[in-house]
Amino acid sequence: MSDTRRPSRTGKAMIAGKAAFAAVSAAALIGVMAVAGVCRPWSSLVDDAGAGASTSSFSVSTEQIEQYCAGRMALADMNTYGDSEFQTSAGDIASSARYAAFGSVYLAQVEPNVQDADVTPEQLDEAPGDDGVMTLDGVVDDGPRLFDAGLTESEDGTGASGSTASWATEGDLRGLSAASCVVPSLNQSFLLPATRSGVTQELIVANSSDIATAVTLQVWGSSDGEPVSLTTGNTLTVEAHGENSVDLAAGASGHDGLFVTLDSDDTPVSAVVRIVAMDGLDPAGSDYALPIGAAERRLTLPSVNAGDEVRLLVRPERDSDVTVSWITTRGTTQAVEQSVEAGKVTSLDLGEAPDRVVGVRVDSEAPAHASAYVRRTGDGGQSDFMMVNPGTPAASAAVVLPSGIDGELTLHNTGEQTAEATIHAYAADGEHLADRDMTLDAGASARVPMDDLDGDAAIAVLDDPHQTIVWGARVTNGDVEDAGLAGVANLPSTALTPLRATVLSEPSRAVVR
Amino acid sequence: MTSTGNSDIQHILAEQAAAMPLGERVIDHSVAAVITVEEDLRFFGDTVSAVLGQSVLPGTVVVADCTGRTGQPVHSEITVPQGDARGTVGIQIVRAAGARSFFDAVTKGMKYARLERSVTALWTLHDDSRPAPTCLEALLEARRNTPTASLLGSKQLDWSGRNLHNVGSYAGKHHLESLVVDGEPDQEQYDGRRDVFAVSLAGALVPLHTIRTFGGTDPWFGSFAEADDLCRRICLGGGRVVVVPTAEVAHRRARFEGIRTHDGEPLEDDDAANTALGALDAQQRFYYTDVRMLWWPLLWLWRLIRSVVMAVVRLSRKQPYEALCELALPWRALASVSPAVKARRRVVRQGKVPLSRLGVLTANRQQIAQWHDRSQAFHDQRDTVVLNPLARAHLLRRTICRWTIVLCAALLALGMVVGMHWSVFRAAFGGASMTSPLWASTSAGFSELVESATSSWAFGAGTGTPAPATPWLLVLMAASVCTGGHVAAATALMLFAAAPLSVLSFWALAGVFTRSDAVRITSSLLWFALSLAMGLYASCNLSMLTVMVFLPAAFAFAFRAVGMYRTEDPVRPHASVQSAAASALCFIPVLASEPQLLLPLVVAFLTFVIFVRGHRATLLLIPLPAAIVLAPTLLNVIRRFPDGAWRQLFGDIATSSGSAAGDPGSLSLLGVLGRAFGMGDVLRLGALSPLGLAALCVCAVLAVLAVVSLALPFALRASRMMWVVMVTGTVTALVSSRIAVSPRTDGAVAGTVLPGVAMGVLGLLSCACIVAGMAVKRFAPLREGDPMGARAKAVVVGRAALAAVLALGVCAWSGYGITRHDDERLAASGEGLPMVAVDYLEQDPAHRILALSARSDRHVMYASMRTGSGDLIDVSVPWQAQRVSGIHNESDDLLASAAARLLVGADAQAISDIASLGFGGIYVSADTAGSERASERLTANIMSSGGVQSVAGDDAGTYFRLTLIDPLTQGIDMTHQHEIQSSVWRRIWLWCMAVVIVLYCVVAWPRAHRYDWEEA
Repeated sequence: MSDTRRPSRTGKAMIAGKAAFAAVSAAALIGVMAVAGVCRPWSSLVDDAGAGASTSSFSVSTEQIEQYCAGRMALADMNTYGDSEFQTSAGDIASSARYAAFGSVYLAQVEPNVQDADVTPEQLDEAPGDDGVMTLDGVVDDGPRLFDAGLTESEDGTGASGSTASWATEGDLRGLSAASCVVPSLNQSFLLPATRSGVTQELIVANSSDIATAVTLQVWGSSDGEPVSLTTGNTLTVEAHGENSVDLAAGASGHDGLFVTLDSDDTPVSAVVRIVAMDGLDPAGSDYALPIGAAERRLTLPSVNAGDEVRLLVRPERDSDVTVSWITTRGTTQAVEQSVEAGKVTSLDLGEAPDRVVGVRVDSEAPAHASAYVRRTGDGGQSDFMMVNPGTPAASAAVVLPSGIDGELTLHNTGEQTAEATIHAYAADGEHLADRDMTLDAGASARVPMDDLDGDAAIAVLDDPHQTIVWGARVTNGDVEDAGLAGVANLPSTALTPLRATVLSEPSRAVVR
Repeated sequence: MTSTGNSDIQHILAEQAAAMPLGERVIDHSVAAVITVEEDLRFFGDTVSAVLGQSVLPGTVVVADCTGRTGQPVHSEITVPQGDARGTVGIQIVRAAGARSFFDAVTKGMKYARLERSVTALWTLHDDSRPAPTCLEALLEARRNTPTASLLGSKQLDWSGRNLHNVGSYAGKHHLESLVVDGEPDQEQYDGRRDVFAVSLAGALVPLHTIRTFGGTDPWFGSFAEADDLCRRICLGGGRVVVVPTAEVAHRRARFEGIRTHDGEPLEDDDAANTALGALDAQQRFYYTDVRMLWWPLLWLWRLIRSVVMAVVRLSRKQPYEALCELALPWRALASVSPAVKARRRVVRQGKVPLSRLGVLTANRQQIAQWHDRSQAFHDQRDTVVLNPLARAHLLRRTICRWTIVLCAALLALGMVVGMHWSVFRAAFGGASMTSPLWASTSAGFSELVESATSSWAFGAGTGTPAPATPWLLVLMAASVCTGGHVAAATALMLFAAAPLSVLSFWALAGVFTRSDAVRITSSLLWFALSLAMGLYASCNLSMLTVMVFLPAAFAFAFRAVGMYRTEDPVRPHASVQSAAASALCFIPVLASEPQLLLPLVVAFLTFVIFVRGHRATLLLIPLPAAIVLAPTLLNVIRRFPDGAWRQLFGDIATSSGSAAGDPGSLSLLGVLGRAFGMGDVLRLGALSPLGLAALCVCAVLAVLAVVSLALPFALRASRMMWVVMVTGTVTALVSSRIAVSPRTDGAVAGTVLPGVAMGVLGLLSCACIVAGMAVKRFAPLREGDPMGARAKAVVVGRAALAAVLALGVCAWSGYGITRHDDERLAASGEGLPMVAVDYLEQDPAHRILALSARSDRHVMYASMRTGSGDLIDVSVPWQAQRVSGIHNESDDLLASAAARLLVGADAQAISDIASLGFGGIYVSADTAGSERASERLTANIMSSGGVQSVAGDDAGTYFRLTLIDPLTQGIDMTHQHEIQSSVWRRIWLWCMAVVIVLYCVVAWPRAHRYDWEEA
């Protein structure tokens, strides 16, 4: 300590040397501190272990099905300022929902996603006849519903499916929107259309469990392959039995498309995005965007009709050449071919769908996510759109049309072989109406209006033992049609196959305190 | 004189010859003086001058040059007036290169010297033995009076000529007893001595016939013992050894006192080498050659045991080097058996008289006891700094003031922690263990803790897996010893004692840099507030609290070990081996808690070694114990480096046991601070609370002070040393935050940044204390008004301002710590498993129960239980590092999958999987943190799976007994565990650790009669 103790022996030289050493060492220390602390050298050198941690998640077959059925389409914010004629309004919006349970189901019920002791769950009505299905009709005007089913056995043909639809002929939500019920999950992703002004994309995250969870959002836009930081924050806390929402269009505006992933910390969550578009003061349609499946090299998007304006959103995992083709009842024709950068969302304008189109096929060199933004224009500048996700073949799948909704099934055989499948049609009360055997050659497509199956057909189940047919329903609503408005929406098929749940299982010393 | 040969010697001789007194003197041509010389010529001039100034001059002065620079002998003469005639004193410089001892050099020199025939005796002198003017005269007179004397020695004094070294020696039990207290003033109290057993050859008159009769000395004995051996042979051979007390020689004993190297090079007094090994070795050589050879093997065994005992005794005297020498002695004896045999034979051959007949030359027990008493009294007197009563009163006043303030501060800290967690504090007295979401509870017994802490076995991984023990458990073990073996109480003790102890600990470190009470207290409270701000108490992070307590103390002791510290005015700082040992002991818990500090501490240690002024050897003592304690971990890291075992260095028990936050990522300094203070990795300054902002501002202010400290001229070394501590600590935090140490369901948990941040702040705070300056209250015996200059006033005002800034920092950090929004709440542990389950576990150490808790419908947590609660002692940092590196344990995977399957549905296979591992029960905890509905479903699923029987159920949880396997044969397979526990390496490690820690404790233990309270 006693640095002053020793008198300098060689006088000035020693003092100068000491001062020089002091200055150099001080500068070096401060420099090291600054470089290490502020500049973050080698910032890419981060231990990326933890990939092995995924082994703590297990895929387990489950006999409990829980689905979340989105509530009625709504405007994200009902501004009540300004002149009444310029205020946004939901107009005469109406909604309907239908739930159906198939196969060995011992219990199926529907309840609101709010824990309330006074509300008793509504049971699905027993099927009329031996080969019918359990059904229930309802509305979702007062909010979303939880659809629970308990299975006695987990097998093909057993499961549950539900859908909701909203339509309006007046107000800012003119047109038709439809969504099938979604299964809660720990991780899910969405591919969403452009976030221009006038568009709201309300991501609704619902937690049906009895503990709160934090959901981390990661968003990629159309500018580059790097994640975008949401101005609204990238974490969303969802209370137990609660919902939370965030407007993605506001959080990441100015992109041609968004790719959003959701990671829930503790408990599975259900998520849908309510997209409402305005073109100035004119309503430009609305629809629900549902979670998309895994990235694949070939994706098939059903339920596109001739005359639709189609815009394809695609996001490959690596830089790839992407080929987009129209699927028609007479084979496929190439629409666009383009090389697409990895990580960012690319929006491809396919133009108007040609005749006899039933869907769109996307071929990419690397696994990719894709979805289609499909628009039609009606009278007086009104237009409506829908979001179409790629379909997945299943041994057995169902489409349930809510009351007031008509539909047309579009089927496409993605396999290399001829597919033989059977469509079972059921009435709204679950009564079995008719069966139709279908034979589709490799790559062939078909269009089957529900009315063709039976005039009362409201539920369709497709048994496809080879699991090659991708299908969905393009739906319409009489009121909207009658008003001369464009009203486009689609319902994807819901698989009725043994359900596997992803369960996290981790060791913890905090189990017993 | 010619110009060949060693010019330095010639120069000195010429100089002294020129300065010779001119008076008339007698020259005795029967005596030749022989002076041996080495490279070190510092004392030679004085010696030559004294020889040439003798009242009776020797006829010849022979200088035996051992340096090898003298080739041919150099002859010269000095003329001395003698009555009418002129006598001459011959001067000869001869070579004695390659001499192995003093007398060997004399003998070698004689071969080259040309002596007159009249010479009958040699007067042998070291270059550093300065004879008194009448020395030779007295010797010659004594020779005339006792013509039978074979050897005449002189009285040995110190260089000042006032204090005694010895006046001849007597025979003791196979060694010599001088019966003179080395250093006592010469009051002619021993001048009655005449016949003695041995004398020193420095200044001795050695008749040539003695050399002829007894054959000179045996150089194997070396300079320290050759005289003893020669005298022994003379006495036992019937000769007489006589000491002449009137012949005085002032002897510097350059080599004996370590100011000369083995090769004869000079050393400064400050750098004096330790010559204990040479002295002890000489004693041992004399000892063995004094005993019959027949006894040597037995004697060797006895001395082997004695060496261990003596080593411990030496350690307790804070003499670690001497202790090492003692341990080495038996082995050195083995290495020189054949010269010893030769020397012993010579003693036997020349011995004619048994020692028993030389009663007069033997020291009796009474004399020796008396001598011991006087030596003790002399040492006690000498080692005590005699302070005048006013100075003592001043020191006492300062001490009382200092301790009162610090005890108040410590009580304040304790009061704050107790007040914040009052209910937990009360529960601690009920035997509850401390727990938080970050920290597992415990209900383990002491023996289980010892087993966990010392076995390379991760008990918590399914049915167990090999992995080094978590070192922190050793700290818990030590704390449990303090609570009488109650492990749960030890966690409470550690938590609540950490508050006052961390204050005291940093207070000690601050005292190294400044004596300003205000700065010391505020900085130590700021250190305590740091642990509040980092949420260590709220999250029950006992491993970090251990660091907070021991890290400053370890540094404080390290500074004291090398004597770099400030102290009160009349007392002077000094280096201390005892402090080095204490520092080494303090570093053990630090490194056991947070092994990641190993890396910065190694760097800091190396810079300390470079920067300290001296006593580097003392510093080398410090790292050893911690290295031994961490040995299993470090060896595992090296052996399994490619498998990612290095990750365990960055983990600690807190990041491995609970829900630690923080993903691996490259953070900036601000990000690291944000994570340490629980503000999140990405700091949005605008979103922070005012207290949060203030907490960050404190860091900024401290950083400014640290930069200022670099420019202070009086603390150039200290400020740089603490900066190195700060920089290395910060870099550790930055590195640690990038490393995955433990897996999580969605990725990995990063290493904790807390130890690095704590070390960085330690450096910052130390620099702030350095800025305060020495602040030593000068002791002025007489108070003279108050002549404080303007500059002194400014310094006082500045210091007060610094203390005020630090006090504001205390408010900001503790305020932030208290209000910090955190769900990591400290709690007392609950009931744990039901009684029936605990009974089952206690029946057999192989019994296990699987505990499950459903956090949600899709998230289940499980634990393999061997005690009544989710045990802390089963947390394994190395196992978590294995998991995150992708190494899996089969039994654990099976448990994980069974738990997952049971969460989703009834599954008989899952139950049978669990039973097949040896588990005897399943407990489903209905923890409030988890989902109630999922918990109910899990319970229902287990119930309907079959193979189970519900035994106990209440609000806390349900216990199922597994009925698939007979309870008598239930139990996990423990063969591998037993194999590992009975490994030889484990025993070696435990023994090494125990021995080293005990030895360090012996060194660190304060000596009762040297308790230097005034320097605390």
